[in-house]
Amino acid sequence: MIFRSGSTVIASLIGLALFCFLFFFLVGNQTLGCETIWRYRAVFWQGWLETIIIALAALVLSSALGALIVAARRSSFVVLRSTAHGLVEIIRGTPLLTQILFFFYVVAHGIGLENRFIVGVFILSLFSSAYTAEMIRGGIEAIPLSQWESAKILGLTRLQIYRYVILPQVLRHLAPALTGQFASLIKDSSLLSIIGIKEFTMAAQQVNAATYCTLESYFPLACGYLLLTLPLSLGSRLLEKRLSS
Amino acid sequence: MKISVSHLKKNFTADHRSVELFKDLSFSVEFNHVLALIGRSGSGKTSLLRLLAGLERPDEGEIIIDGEPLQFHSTRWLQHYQKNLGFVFQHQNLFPHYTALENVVMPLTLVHREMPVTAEKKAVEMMERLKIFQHAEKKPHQLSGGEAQRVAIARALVTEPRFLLLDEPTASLDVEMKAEILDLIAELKTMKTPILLVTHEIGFARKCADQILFLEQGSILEQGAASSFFDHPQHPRIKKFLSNVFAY
Repeated sequence: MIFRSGSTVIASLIGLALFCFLFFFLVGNQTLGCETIWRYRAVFWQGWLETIIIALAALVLSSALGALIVAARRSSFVVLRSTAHGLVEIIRGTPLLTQILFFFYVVAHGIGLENRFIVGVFILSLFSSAYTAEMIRGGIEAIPLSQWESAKILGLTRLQIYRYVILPQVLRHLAPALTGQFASLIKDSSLLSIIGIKEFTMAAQQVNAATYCTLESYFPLACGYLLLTLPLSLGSRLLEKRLSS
Repeated sequence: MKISVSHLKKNFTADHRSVELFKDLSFSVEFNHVLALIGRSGSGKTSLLRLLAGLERPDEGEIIIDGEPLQFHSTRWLQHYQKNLGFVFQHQNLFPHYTALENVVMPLTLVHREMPVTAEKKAVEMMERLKIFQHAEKKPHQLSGGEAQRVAIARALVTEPRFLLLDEPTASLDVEMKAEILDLIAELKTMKTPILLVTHEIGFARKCADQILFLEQGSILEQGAASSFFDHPQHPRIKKFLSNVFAY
């Protein structure tokens, strides 16, 4: 196990080193404006923190929304079931960029919601909730019927069956996938820059616009995302191995 | 204990086809200790046991246990009925994320609202009685088939059920473990909890059961006291079945 985890870390570090090497190889003899970029470190730092906050908020909200969608999809009410199914299909069938533009310029403006951060978190959560819901639904349906029957015959209520028998088993299997979903959320949040949310990508765009140092502006951006996603990817693999052993 | 079944109809879906298993099943049986449901594979033994446990709903007909009709349409009634019976599945169906002890404690704390300390004490006593306590902290995947089946039986018995239903409890076990579990079931007779047993262990049914129901294609071919059933079977098909079973 330790050996395998170690090899994943080494692979991640090699990947990062390769990325850095390619960057410096490609820029060749060009003069890098690193000092100029360093002056904007606070902008990068704030954008990076904003990305983490957006992704964390979206993770919590999308998990809750995902659970609600699953409850609706497993409901005995046809209307509720069909609505939830339709919502999942629409969200999964359209690009996130389209959803961001539609929700920001049509829905949010329509209801008078001006706070870009809230709108951004909500859009990202809604987008992610469709995928989370499918993961949870798949997890629940993967639990053998015998587990439901075994709990039922003991006299457990439906709520108790979910709380004590089904969900603990589903979450065990879902943990790696949810960690992966969090990494996706972090990357997807970059699209929120299109509606002017001052997250990490927006920060890089601002620095680029102010300095005209394009490569130097986007290099910290890539590193910043990798700093967040590589540990998550590693954590996801570790969880997967631990749960399968 | 008395079980009455009248005009029971039940269709099952297999490979997207509806199969009529019970067309018009009626019988009444009274027993003190062990009622064995025997018959060929696919005769409807397990399905009948599941109907008696409320795990399946009949399409038509009525099941009356000790004078009380099973109210299949009422979820609340069924839940109350099921919490007072013990059911042991062929493949144990323990909860994999709990230890053996937690599996046994669970129905006491969650369903019967016992205090955790009392529940654990009862669970420990039951596990000691069934000689499984040494594996209390193991998860189901760390137990052998026989050990897991003992835990399943402990979980079913710890709530002191009205009666115990055993669905081929030895079917998934090897010969040695099978003998262990059969010995255990024989011991359970002393607990005075009526047992309904679906089994292919005809020799064991002969030794332990006081009443026998023989099913064939969803109908009762013969029923009666174990001694007369095995010593003087009436139906030619049962005579042939028993002669085949006891040939080796």
